[in-house]
Amino acid sequence: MSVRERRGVLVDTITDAGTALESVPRPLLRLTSVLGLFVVWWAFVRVGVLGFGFFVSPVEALSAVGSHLFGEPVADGETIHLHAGYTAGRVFAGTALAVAVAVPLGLAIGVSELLERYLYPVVELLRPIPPIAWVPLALVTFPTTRAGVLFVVFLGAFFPTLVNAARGVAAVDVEYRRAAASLGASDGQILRHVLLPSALPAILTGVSIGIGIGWITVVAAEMITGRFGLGHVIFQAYRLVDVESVVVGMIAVGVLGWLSTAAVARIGSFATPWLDGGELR
Amino acid sequence: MSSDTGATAVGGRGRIEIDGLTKAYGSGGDRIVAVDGVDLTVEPGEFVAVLGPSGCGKSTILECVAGYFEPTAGSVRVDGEPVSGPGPDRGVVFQENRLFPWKTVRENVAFGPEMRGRPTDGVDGLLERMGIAEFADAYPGQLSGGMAQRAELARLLANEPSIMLMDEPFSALDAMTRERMQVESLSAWRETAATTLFVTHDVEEAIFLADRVVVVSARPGRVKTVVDVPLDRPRRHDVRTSEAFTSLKGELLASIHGEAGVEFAEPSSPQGGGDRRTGPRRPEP
Amino acid sequence: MIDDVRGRSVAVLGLLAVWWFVGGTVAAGLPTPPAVAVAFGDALTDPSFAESAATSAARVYVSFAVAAALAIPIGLFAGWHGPFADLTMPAVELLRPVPPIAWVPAVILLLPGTEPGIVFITFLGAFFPILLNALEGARGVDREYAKAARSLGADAPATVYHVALPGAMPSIATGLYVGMGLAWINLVAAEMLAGGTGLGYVTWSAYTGGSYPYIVVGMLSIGILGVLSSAAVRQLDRWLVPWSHGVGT
Repeated sequence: MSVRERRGVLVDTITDAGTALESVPRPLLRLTSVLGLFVVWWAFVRVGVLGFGFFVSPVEALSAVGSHLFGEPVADGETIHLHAGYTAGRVFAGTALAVAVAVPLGLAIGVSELLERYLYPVVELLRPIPPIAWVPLALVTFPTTRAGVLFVVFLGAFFPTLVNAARGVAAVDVEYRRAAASLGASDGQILRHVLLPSALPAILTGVSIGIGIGWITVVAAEMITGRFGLGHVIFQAYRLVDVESVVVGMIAVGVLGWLSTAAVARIGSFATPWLDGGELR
Repeated sequence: MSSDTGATAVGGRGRIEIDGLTKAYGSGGDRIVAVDGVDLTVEPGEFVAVLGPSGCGKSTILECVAGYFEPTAGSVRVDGEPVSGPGPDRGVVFQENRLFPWKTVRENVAFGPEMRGRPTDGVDGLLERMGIAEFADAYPGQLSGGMAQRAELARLLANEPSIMLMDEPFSALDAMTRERMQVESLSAWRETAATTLFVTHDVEEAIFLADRVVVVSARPGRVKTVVDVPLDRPRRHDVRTSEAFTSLKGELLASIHGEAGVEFAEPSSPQGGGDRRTGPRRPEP
Repeated sequence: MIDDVRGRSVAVLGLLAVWWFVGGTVAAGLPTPPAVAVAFGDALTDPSFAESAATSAARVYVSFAVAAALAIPIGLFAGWHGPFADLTMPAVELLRPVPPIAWVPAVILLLPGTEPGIVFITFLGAFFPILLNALEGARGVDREYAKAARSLGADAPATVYHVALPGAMPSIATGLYVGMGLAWINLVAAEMLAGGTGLGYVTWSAYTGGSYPYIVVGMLSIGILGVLSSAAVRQLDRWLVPWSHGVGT
């Protein structure tokens, strides 16, 4: 067979496979995906690929999650719930603080050319430094480790929120502002009734990104500075080669991270009811 | 000039005096003169159409009256006072629908009175009269084009402006809806007796609606001619086929096409339309 | 343009002033601007510092390249062919919420040596955003283009290459930009944790070793390299997607 013919046969085979998949019900495919992941994991542990021989199997991991959920203490004697509370608390506190500062500041920068010119360059200068890189400096500057970690989490959520708020406001179509002015609205009223709602979707995107970075930062910071928190749990477990707890920690972080992202999305939908309305055109 | 507006003028308010209006952008070699030395006086309660091809500066004239920017030269006066910024006395309807998407229809219509601390009890009645009461709690994104423009008109009317400024508000609508909205504008005008300045590129629309039609030439925008429309009011749809209408149309088209090198039917400016062969273009009437 | 320079200078000077002030009053441990400047000068002439920078950069670029090479095809296929997405994405969605940094201990246990571990974490950081953006991009391509291609004689792979890929490019470009940023974030965290070499490790050991001005030197260097990388990705974007940078777009 020529190259062309061989390619043709290969393409046909793939296309046929693709078409065949189309007739498989979607939930089944998705289930296969999830199960497939666990099967591959289990196989790797069984066969001992790389370091997997010392790793936990899916079953062990899940049962460990279960038992810790019901109160079995982790390495340092505390429950996973306590540590999760610390970590989640830091993320929420840091993010809430970041939003409280970044949104008004971002709006102000978006509206005021003066601020944009003289303040925004500072943002652009500091933004590229990954929040985690601030940890050492924060530890040196702040009186307690806790304050330092909180500051770093705050930073992680701060920049995306600020940038998105500023950009969101700047992108508001000038004709909406004009419409409001021609209806008799003052500048302050325009800010509240036009600029803020219009920029809300962008702000929410910023917060969503911010929370994501906040989670990454908090876990890393806890691993490095550790005393309480899921990051610390994972690192301690690693030190003690308690592979089970490492995985439990990872799963806990993943679940909580997912929940917080979903929560932000929910809040976002609730705050912007005009966006998911069905078009009746 | 038609003397029968069907209602008493709002205490003789709403007189627009445009004197030598010039608006230019940029400087030196890049200087663009959008409007050059436009003179126009609009009496209180008059309905004046500003007619011209896309991108000829007619919108700029409107924006100067609305107060969105200062003229480069010349002046715009409303009731003797120079215009110093936008205000509720000069209501605006935009080309693209500018209902606030994040507020319901009712909230939009009540916006003006609310911002000014005025009572909002007339809003529901207004919604009824405009035929959009059933959409009062819907968001603009859920409305059809015609409904949305109707709501935007209602929003303007809720402020009881002495002047209505409308910038090609129906060009994005289909023909049937457009004709309905033209009739709506006339009843709104009759009810409020507000001075109305209506920008359009549609000759028939201009004749149907206005007392006078001001023809504006393209780049730079200058007044070419002013044609009276002595047709009886109230105007009905069948007036479009009358002899008087047709002869007026001929007169206006002659005035427009008389300009060398400027085709009326094809959008030729980079900001207005688009090349037929390449990108997106504005919907044609 | 002149105004911009003035604005930037004022902003930077203001920042230095605030920094100096905070260091002088509230936070005694904070290294002062002049100390940092001196340390920066030392670092620039120190070959081992340059080596650390090179190590970090190499890690980022290699991981990024591998992540892109894997994520773009997978994301493209998933966005183009529904069943393929159903078969792959659920597993991905399960793994995604776990921050790459949380993988570090697990990865160190599973892979030999720390280097593969660090590279893998950085890879993970870039992989997910690129994957998701490629998927979204392919999903958003109007299928009418595919029909046009088929009617002109293209087979399935050709359609993917000539329709799906270019159509998804703008989205992929965004994904690359975000992915680069996340790669850096995760690299620094991994280096601080697992250490040995690299700018992250240098910054951390400056802290544990007590030479505080070097902390700031490390931070600034990371930031600078991060900016350069993002700028490089932006250039790549311009090169990859020339049609969306034209006049009037």
